[in-house]
Amino acid sequence: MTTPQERTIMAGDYQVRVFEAGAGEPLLFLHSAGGPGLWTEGIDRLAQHFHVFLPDHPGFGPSPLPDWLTGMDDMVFHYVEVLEALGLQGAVRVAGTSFGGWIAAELAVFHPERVKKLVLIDAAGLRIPEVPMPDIFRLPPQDILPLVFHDLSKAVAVMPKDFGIDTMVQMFHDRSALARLSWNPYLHDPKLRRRLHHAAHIPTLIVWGQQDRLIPPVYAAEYQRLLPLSRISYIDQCGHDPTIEQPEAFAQAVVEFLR
Amino acid sequence: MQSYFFHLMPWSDYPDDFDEKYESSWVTFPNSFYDPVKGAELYNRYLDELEYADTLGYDGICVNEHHQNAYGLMPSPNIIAGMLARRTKNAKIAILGNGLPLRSNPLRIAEEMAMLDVVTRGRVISGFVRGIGCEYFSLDLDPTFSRDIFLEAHDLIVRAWTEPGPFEHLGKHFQYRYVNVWPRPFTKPHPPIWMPSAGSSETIEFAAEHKYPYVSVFTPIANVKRLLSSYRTIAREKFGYEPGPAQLGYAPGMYVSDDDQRAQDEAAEHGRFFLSKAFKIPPHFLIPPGYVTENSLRGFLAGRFSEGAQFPEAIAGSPKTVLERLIADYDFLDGFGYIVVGACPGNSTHEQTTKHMTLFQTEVMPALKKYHEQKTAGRAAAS
Repeated sequence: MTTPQERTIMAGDYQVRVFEAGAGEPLLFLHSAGGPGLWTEGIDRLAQHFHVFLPDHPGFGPSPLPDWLTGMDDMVFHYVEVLEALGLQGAVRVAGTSFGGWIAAELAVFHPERVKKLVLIDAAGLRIPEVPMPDIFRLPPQDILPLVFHDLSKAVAVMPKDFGIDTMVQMFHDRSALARLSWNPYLHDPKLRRRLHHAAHIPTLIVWGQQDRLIPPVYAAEYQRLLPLSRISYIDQCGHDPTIEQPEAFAQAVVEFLR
Repeated sequence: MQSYFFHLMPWSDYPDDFDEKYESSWVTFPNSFYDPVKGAELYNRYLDELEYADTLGYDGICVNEHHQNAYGLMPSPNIIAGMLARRTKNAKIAILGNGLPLRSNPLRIAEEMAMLDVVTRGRVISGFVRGIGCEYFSLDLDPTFSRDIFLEAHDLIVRAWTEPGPFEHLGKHFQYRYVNVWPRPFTKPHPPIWMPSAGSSETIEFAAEHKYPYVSVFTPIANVKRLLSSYRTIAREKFGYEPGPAQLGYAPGMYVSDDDQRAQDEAAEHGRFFLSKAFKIPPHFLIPPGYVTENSLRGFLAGRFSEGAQFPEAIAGSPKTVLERLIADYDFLDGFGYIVVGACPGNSTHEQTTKHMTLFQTEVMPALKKYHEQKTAGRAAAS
């Protein structure tokens, strides 16, 4: 795997850590709630074809949870500033996993002119009343892993090295940032459903782990229904994060679409 | 030295398979286990006990706020306080406290406390709390702004009680064009504010800054000592005053009965019930993300890793034994100005509770009060 370069940019007055690697057309990759700074094998494979930028979301990783972040609109404005700070003009390829997929969808809705192609990977953001998502805030980490991974042995690669105080405080920090935007309404934006048509003309690929038990595949179909020109690529033997569990199949589908 | 009798109004009956089948008595424990007929009996019994505390001469009776649980059935402490307002004569009614972030409109708290204060001609104490972590699941409130909202609501309520209205409030979490609370409180400048706490350093500093009486609950005595010393130090070094005993409270787990053996046996039974049923709260319910500062979490984790999840040992015995222990604790803590006496857990009987509260108030409290007076007189003379 490549070791990505790490640098710090200023998005407005807010400092952001960004990892990047690869060359060619830029690709903004928005990480999942569990993945600030996590350069997964799937992301690495994308970097063999694109110049991938992986910024930390505000409040995740080393960044403090800012007071101004109270809703997805703030997050969208933040990412417009991130694009500017990265010098990315016009429409850009944007992909996001889970929580990051939700941000990607919101960015496309508010600023369709900034999104050239959109990849939604096991994305949060919608809520189907009949299909609840398990409440990860009331589960200890050991109970969340089986929801996220189809093959638990794949979790080892991304597990923290220890569960000492520093690790637990960092996990609490990241979960706090997630809670700020997704405690209530839980992991979704009730307004997104009605707004998604603003992004309907953007070429969109929906990528979903067939065995995702956190946000089940029926949510892929719901995104597809709301974005009728999009298509879905289901990945078998795969849980909530295809970039970790099935990097090859993931990259194959995504690279072909993004080219 | 003042005595306060505190009631949790606990639920009494748990299914036999509770220990294996239910993760907690909070948040998710099905309310099908609540029986309203039994509930009516319990509410009335508990209200009788609180009223009885007034006739026994306790300086105050305390109620509190918790939501969607079997631990304590006062989702609205102000309603319970309202019931007590005209049935009690002398005791202060201490609401410990209203969970400020748990109410979407803090002016409702300012209004309700002012109503109680006026009706009782100044017999209320207004505790303010954030609510425990479970509350943020039960009411589905963002825990990450809990402290922020608490502070803004606190400032707004105090202003609403003390500044002539109407005035405007343009805050971060609340905006009002017309703050103009009727009735105004009876107590000048406003009802006393207390800060019950589970021991976070931010709360101690806030309480010390405002000279609010502070008491930590469910805390082993070594930690109580650390917290009270920290209050004294912060008051002295940061805010330049010496806190009086009335600012520092002690709330030990305590049970008084006729003799040591009986008290210890019954307390053990109550303790088992309390810890295995009512207080069964997994850490992810107790500390939702963002509910505490990372600094406080660090302290909490360090404490847990070093001592295990310790719960304070209860003081149980005859009046004589309990008095001896309390005097020892008094000296160990460098004194305290009020003591909070808990009603018994949900598996106690009315007879056990009334005996406990009677023996404490009539046989322990007079001597403890005397000891406190001697000590404070001695201290005053020495300085």
